[in-house]
Amino acid sequence: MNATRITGLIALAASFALSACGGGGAPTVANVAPSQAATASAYTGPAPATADVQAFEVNLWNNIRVQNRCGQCHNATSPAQMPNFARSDDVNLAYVQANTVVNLAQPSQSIMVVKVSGGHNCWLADNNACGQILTTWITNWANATGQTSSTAVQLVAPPVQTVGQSLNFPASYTDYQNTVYTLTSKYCVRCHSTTADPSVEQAPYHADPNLAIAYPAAIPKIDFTGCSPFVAGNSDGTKTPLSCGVNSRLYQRLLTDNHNCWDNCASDAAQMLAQIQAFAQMLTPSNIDPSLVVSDAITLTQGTIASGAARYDADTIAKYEFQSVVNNTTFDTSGIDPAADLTISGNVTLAGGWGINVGAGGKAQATTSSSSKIYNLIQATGEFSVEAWVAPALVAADKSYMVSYSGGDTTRNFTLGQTNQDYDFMLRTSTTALTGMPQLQTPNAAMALQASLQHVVLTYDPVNGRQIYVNGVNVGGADPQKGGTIANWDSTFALVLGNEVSGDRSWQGLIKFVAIHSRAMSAAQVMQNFNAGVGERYYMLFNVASVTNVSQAYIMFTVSQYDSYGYLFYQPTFISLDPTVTSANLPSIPVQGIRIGLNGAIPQVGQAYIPLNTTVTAANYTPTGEVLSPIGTVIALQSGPATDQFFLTFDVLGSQSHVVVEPTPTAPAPSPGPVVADIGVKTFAQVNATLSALTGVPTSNANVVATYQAVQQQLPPTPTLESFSAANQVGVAQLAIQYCNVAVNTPALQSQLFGVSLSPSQFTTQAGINAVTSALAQRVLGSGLNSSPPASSVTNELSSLIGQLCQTNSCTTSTGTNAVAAAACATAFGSSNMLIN
Amino acid sequence: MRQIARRAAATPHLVTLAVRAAACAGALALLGGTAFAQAPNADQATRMYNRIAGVPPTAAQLSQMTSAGDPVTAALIATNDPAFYNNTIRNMAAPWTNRNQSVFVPLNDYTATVIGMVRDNVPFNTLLSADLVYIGDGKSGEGTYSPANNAMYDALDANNVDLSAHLVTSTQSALSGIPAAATAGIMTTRGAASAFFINGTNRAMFRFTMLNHLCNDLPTVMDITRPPDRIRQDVTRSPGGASTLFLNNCIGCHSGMDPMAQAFAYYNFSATDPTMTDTTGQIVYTAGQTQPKYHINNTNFPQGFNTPDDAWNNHWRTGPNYVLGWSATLPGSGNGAKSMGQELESSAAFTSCQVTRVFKTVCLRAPNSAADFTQINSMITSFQAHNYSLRQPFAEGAAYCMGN
Repeated sequence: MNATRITGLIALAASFALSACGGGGAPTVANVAPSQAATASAYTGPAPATADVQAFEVNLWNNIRVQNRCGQCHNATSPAQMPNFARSDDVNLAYVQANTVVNLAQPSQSIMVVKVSGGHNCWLADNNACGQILTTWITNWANATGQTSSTAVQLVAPPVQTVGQSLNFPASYTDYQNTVYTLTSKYCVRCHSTTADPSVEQAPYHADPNLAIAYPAAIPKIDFTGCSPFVAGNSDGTKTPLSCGVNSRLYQRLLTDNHNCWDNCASDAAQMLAQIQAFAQMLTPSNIDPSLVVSDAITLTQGTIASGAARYDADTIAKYEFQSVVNNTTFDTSGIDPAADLTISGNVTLAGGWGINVGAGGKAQATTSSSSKIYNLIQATGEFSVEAWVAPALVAADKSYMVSYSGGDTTRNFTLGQTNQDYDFMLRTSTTALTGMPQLQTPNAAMALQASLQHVVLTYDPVNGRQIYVNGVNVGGADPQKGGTIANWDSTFALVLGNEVSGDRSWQGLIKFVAIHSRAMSAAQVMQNFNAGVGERYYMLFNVASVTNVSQAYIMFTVSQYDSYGYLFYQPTFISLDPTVTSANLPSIPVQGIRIGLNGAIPQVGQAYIPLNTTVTAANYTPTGEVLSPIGTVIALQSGPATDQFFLTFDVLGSQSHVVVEPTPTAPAPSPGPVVADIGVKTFAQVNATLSALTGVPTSNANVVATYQAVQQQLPPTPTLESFSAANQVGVAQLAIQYCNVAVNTPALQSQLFGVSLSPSQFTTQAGINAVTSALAQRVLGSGLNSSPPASSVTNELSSLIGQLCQTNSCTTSTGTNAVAAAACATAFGSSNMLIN
Repeated sequence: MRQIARRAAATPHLVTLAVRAAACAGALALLGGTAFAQAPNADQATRMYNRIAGVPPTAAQLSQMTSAGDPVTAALIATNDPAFYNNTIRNMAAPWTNRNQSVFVPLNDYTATVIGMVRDNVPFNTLLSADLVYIGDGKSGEGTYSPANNAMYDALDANNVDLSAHLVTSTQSALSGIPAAATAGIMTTRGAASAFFINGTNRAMFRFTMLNHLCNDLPTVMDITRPPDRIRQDVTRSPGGASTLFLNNCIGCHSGMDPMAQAFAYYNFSATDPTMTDTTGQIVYTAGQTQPKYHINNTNFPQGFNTPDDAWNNHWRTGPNYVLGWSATLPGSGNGAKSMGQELESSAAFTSCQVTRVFKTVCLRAPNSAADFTQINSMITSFQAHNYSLRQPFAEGAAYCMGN
């Protein structure tokens, strides 16, 4: 511990523990379940001596001095448990005592909060909820006097820990080949292979027939978390920990995503997990490569809690931080009684890093009686705000409700909903319907709703009406229904999250925070809360003193559990906790290629700092350190924040280096296409050009152009025989008829086509017929081609056709002869002789 | 091999077997240089002409081909046919110019430039970097080139103008108002800009260029192990509250694509028609100033990359996509679309893509045998030796598939 302040706090913590309720040194007693109906006698003692005392009185003291909370023990009468910060006789004396157990700079770290969160006489079913409520009250006190944001966080050096052992992937693919690959090569190869059909080919190629390709691709999809103790500690080697390998993507894709299961997803997943575990059993835990340039190791919770920017919570009347769910209840931690705790039902689970994951049909709902405080407090002001941090899971959703205070889908006070990528604000006022319609919606073109964590605030006041803020920006536009009042609200409705109270407006996604305020927040207040962020953040200090030879040198990351699956790392900063290290004496320290290690290994995914190439210099170094990169990244969670142990490796740090050189990948063999016919068909433009060449009619002829444009997309688009269809042939015939019609009825082209000008009696003699059929056959078959059929096969068919046509058409007139000639022409030119390529 | 085949000409199955046997024995490689030494017969010449130009040869052309010294020389005759440019090349390029990859789209400067480059033997490995555009020669009433609309090309189309005869070369820098250093071949034509710079985030230009000219769509190149340092702020790292989706999917493409697409940071298309059909509007280039589209939705992940300039970097030079064959003579990073285009067009994947596509066009099938792949390699070598003239692989591919 470097900070004197923290040492002092620990001493205070000790004294507090020794004097806990129940007599000096008595162990913490079992939780009681006092009534939530807070009762306190009216205060008749001395007036607050200072503004700070008054802030203490209003924000904390009035809430804790009641009999069912701290005032039951920490009072001035009996048992007068010290520190008696909840004494009701003199607020000034209580203030003095309270200052020994609160941390106004970091309210969540107050002894009072830590104590109650740890199980000391919480008045609710959940210790965490009591701690959060106390934090809220202390924060309100601090905010009232501006103390929260004015104090810098004191960084605390973490314990010295070296990087542990881990299971590391062997260089050879043999173990993979004998285990997991037995499944992937059989069931995944049709897509995840360089030999897959191009229409379904998909990286990663972990099923590739070439194991030199498959194995490297599989490594990021296999996670040996939970496997190491088994291999290391069990001599019999027969019992596999249930958690071994369950983080593996290859397993999860089958189990949770039902991704192309080959039989039954559950059993397929079990098979995959068994193979992953078999793979793990073949390995031996090993220490990290000693040649690496490595920092010390640290877990998330060994970091220093970062105090975020102060929130605006002066008018918060209900607040949900979702730090815990106890007995299907998650708690209203606003500190405003009565607490409108939420009962979860259906598909709702607690999310990592605080929050609730709401699945299809799930919801979290308060009782109508506890929800009535919302009605009462908002009716008193006539305005309100709804604030939420949400991450919608779907961007194609209609009438999905995130926060609603209503009696059903047809009757409500207010609702925050989602329609695809728009946020909806329905509100009952004197100028809208009881359904809250017409709604105010973010503009469709803005696509304000994204499938990412977003800060959404609805505000209402009679003058401005409804407004919608997304990530601090007002995107809702003006409210056409402004000017009404909310006096017609119904006090019997219930607050519900993730659905409608009627259960028919399911919303899916992550809700990390919800607050309801009894005032319309200003744009500045909205922005303040957006900037404050959500969730708990830590400063993780990775010791690099021995590498850099700088006293108490650390690479510091700001880290939080991002969601149930990952950690957010950002703002890597070089800093020394030794106050004697300053810009005056700090040497230049090159820093290149940072990798974030986890549980003894280096994850392959999310390593955003590999390209980093910078130098810490005295000129840029300040007492708060030197930021190395503004970039953040997400690293996959393995065991959880309590046990996941992180470390850093460096390509270059100071005078030490270990540049990682990636192996050259194996080039896949070319993937052969399907065996298809050696010949094909002409495509649309080729058909058009060929008919033009055969008939002599230019493609620009107006009649031809009209027909071509009409049938263009009916003609063959691709040249393969396999794709040729009857519809294509119909299109070819139509175009051939048009070309032949123009050619036959254009004298110059007619004589060019047939070698003679057709006479009205052309088809009355066989010689005349033969002249036409021979000319057509000659054109379409070419000459001297062995690949063409005999000319007689064409002329015979055409002669037969002409004979039949002349039985039903007049072949003694010019018009009739031309029509029959055109038909013969189209038959010849629209045939496969023209079409086959 | 042809001799073997000819002896078995009366029995086609034997021909096939003979060919396969020769291929399996590796005989093809030995025959490579001399297999096409003789002039094609009439059937072979006709097939080559039809495959290349899409129309049958005239008697004179057929005679000329059958008198040529070898099939490749004969096939090159077919590349002089106007239909080769008006149909074959145009319809090969047309799908590259739109997101639906439809061939049934109007002629535009993208397509015309490809046609002109093939006709004039412009090295095709400048396709993505040249300051070049082909326009009408003004002899067909098509009007003058406008960077703000497609009217000239619509007129050429409507007037059924022979593109093999009436396209002339010009420069984008002279016609479009963008600096020569900012031109990047067909990527900065109006046709491409109207399709891929319109709206969005400009990633489409990179994705479709990869698809059309390296023959790799993103699913085949996704690599989740590349550093995500350049992924922009608009990409959520926790879609719907599940970062596992990002870490197993999104990151695979964005980690490579975003640092490459940064090369387009100064480009936009002025129109915003949401249907993204060809419309009025022109390419916009703001030197030194990143387009606002690179900063949309920047609160999705504030710790993401905030694009300051058009510096691009190729993260795919290492990892599995090393096999795309990046040029060792280029640095793998730079500023702007031109140098990024050079990075793409200098890759082995680009060359292979162009040659393989030509093979499919003239053989009417994808390569599917060892012999085919040997031929592809031979065509790649020849393509490079002939200064990247695309007519050469057309001729060589047609000769290879001319039949017996």
